[in-house]
Amino acid sequence: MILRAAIDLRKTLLAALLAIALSLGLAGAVAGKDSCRDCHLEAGDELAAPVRSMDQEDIHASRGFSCDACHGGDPTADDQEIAMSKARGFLGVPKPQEIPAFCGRCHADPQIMRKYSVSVPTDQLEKYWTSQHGHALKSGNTDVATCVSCHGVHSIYPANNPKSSVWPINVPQTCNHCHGNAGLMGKYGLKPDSFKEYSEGVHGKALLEKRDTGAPACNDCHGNHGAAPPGFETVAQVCRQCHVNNAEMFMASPHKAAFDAAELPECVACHANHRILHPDESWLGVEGEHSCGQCHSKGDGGYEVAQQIRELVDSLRIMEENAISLVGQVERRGIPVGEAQTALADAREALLKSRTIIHTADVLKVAEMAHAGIARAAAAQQMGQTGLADFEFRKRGLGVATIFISLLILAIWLWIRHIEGR
Amino acid sequence: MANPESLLTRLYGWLNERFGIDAAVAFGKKKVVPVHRESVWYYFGGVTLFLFIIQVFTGILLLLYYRPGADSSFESLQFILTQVQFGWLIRSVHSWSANLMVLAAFIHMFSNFFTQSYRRPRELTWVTGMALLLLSLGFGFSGYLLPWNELAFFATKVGTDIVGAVPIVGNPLLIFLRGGEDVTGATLSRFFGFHVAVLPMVFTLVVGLHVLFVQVQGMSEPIAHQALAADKKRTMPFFPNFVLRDAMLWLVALNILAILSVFFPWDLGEKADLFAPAPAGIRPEWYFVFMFQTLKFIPGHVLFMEGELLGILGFGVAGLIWILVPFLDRRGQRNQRNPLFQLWGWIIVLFIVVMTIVGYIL
Repeated sequence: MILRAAIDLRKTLLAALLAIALSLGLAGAVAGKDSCRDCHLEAGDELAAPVRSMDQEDIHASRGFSCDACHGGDPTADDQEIAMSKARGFLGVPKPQEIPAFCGRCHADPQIMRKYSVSVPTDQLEKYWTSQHGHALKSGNTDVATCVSCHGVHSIYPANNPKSSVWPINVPQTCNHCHGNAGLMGKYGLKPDSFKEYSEGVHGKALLEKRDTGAPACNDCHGNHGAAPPGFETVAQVCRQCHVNNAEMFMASPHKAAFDAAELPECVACHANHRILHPDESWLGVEGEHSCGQCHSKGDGGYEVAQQIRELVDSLRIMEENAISLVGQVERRGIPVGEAQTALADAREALLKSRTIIHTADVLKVAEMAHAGIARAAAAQQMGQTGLADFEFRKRGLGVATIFISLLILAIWLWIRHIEGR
Repeated sequence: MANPESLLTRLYGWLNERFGIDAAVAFGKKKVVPVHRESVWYYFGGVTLFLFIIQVFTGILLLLYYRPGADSSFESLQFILTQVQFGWLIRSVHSWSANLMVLAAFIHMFSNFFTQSYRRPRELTWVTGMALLLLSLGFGFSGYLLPWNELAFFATKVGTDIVGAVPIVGNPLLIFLRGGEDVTGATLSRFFGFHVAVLPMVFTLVVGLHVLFVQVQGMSEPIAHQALAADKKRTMPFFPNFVLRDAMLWLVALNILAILSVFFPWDLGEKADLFAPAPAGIRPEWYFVFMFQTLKFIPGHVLFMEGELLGILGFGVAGLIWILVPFLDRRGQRNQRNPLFQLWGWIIVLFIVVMTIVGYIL
């Protein structure tokens, strides 16, 4: 009896142990074995660092990829020799010249990339080989940028993630890692101050200070995977991506042929490349650091045209400023200035258009726009003067009314005194 | 040619024969106003009435050009301000006198509270006066929306939202006030109706009663003055002495309105855009700011109640108690000063002033 009970107990225990072992095994299979992670985490700081630094927001990790997706090998094998054997497809750490093709195994394959997004481009590798970086790498130069130089290694984020090194606002700093390195840039005859110059320009201020992600970063002008400096004959093509009207006017102007002949880099000749300052009227005319006087001298036709254009734009600007001041005075007195504001908006628009039309270098066209603006500014001034005159009329009316009311009050007071004195 | 004086005398006689004007004139001549160191407060009732008359007069003139509607209100006001002769003056006087009228009504109310003028037999004068103050606030709230500008639109939205938070009747009342779920052109139409038809009709009736009560019962005397012996009391005839002083103050008020309208014309602002986000600094008219600010300070939940609801109920109960003051002040009914009520009054004044200032600073 006792023996049977002991056998039953042993059977029960065995069944329980089996169940525990099975459930543990099942749990292990569900969780997925990853010997890369397990071993590297135990293999000291240097080898554990790639695993520890892997952010779960990483574009690859968040889609379920582990180390073997890039580095090959077999994460299900417990034995290191087997897991990291060539027989199991282990690739190891790629050398710099291998990196583009390494990433390109997936990123240049539309069949693979389509699984993740139908719109994701797959021409990065092809473009890369056309870039300055790609040319240099191909010729055996390994200190040029490859994929990981810009995108990072183990924590790679999509470009629309602010943590990404290629998020628009981070792009200038990312490029500056290499392009701000004087020693490295010196090897290629490049200046290391592009970032500083860019930061001081209108584009840099808009992107880095105002955090306007629509403002151009390095890659918007130079390209990203196919990065290359635009040649002097194609600068306008780069700038016209955004500055359409200015570029078209320049292309149709007498300056286009003259700049080509003198091998002047189109827009850059006046506006510079990285340190693009906000232009103002001092850039027109023949005096000043950026003015037309840099190329034109007294006696040539352009000199006279530059002077005339400056006078026209100056006249409009001064007229507009005066009108703004006058209308402001009226507004501060509480008199409605809606129509005057409309006229002022028209004058401002004409001033902006005039500043654009100067790219035609055509006095008549600038004059047409400037005169239209001057007429609207004059209309606003007229309305402002009428408003001020109206206010004077109101004050005079108030004065008369106050005198009349005061006399009435005095009369009533005298009347009260009269009846109460009786 | 007939003598004009005899014509007037004949006309007077004709009317007197039919309406007994002699009795009214005799009443006016016999009526006296007590003279004491607090007499100055008597004039604020008259000033409030004068400003109401200005409101009616300028309101009628504005009606000649104002066109209610989401597409026409703002535009018609622009037209009044820029194209209509003296339109700017009429509009500014209307807006300024509305604000000064509420201010004068508040001063009138508090002066009567602190002098305990509400005590027997003038309980109903106080109640009708409170009704007039509430109607004035209704005038202000409904008139604020009529220009259909950005600030008014959002202030009305917030104001009617507060009404909607009242239990049981809140939501139906909100729908009734707005003419739908949201503040739209339908809200503007009905606010216009309240502002130019319903409220003036009710206000005129109640103000008639209020003035009638004052005329029948005479001016209330402060408790200390009432206790004096008859030979130590000073009085002045209501007509013409008091009426002439009233007229002087009315003229001063008129001149102040003119000065404010010339140097600080009421701003029209930007047209309301139903789809625009609410601008920063939305605030109701100044006389609602203390309530608005208090509601902002109350936490979202207080014990088992929503904070906003608690605030609304609090103001509702406080308002009701305030209206019933003549019946609650037992000492006042016995012609005795009531220090507790005086203290309560000063706390309320302080609360209103502090919360209004805080509302403008924060």
